[in-house]
Amino acid sequence: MPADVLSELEAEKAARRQREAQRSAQVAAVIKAEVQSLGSKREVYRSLGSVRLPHARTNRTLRRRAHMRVKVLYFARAREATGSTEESAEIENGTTAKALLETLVRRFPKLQEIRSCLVLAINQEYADGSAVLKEGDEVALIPPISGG
Amino acid sequence: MAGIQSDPSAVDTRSSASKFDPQNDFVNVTSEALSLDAAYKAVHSTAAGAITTFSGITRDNFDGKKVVRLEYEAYAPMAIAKLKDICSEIRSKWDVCKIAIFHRTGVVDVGEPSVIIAVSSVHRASGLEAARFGIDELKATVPIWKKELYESGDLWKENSEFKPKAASGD
Repeated sequence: MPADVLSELEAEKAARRQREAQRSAQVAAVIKAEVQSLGSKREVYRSLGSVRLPHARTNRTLRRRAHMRVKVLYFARAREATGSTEESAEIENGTTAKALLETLVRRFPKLQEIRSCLVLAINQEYADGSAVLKEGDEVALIPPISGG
Repeated sequence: MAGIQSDPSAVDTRSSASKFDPQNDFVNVTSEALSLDAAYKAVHSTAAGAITTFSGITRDNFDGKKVVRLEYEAYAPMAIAKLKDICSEIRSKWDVCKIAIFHRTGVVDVGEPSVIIAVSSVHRASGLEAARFGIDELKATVPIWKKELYESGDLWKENSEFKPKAASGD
């Protein structure tokens, strides 16, 4: 199921990129034609007034939505492995909890020793690795517990 | 009295449909020393014919090694939430009057209590069963960790009861 969702997301992304590329090419062609007729790009933009070129706006929108921040908490052996209790991580939209963990294991090789027994919690609930993270989520790396 | 009040910084903002009863259920995760007397008084009720208490004490030995002390660490907000869930589950299974579950964090010397559970009930059966369930479920679900320090070396303990609802990595 997760693989299907991921490939669906990837397909949507690719389709969206293709549409934007086509749009950019069309706008570029229009500008080129106008430049040839008006003599300079400056004249073209003046004639367009305050209208923002659509591809530029879309690119800015895409850049704003491309990444998000989550809070990562480390406890017990995970804390010792990373030397940190918490940090803010910037991740791409659509990142799963498992993908984030893989990134952290690459950054902190000592996490690999406990990787197989780590459980994740998202916003203080135990979570499946396939859970997709959202902006502002609190993700905790939870080694085997030993309260009581 | 120290340890009675719920941690004010760990407000549970989830659904109010939980059976946790803030008037009669007391949970806390604190670095202060635990008091059995405080737990007893927290759950005392003239409607109850029985008060059951459980204390988890730091032992002086493990696997032939001498334990110098224990150090506890907690994911406090989630631990408080899970302790409240345990109270809800107790209330859904047994008829009890009041519940108190207190866990200590930081350094706990040998012989000191690291966890105290107290349950008052009209009759003893439900109190005894609820207290038993409480400690079993705490060991299985509450994000608290214990490190044992020996004369030479230390070890992060792992509860065999640990069974989160979902495991990562699948």
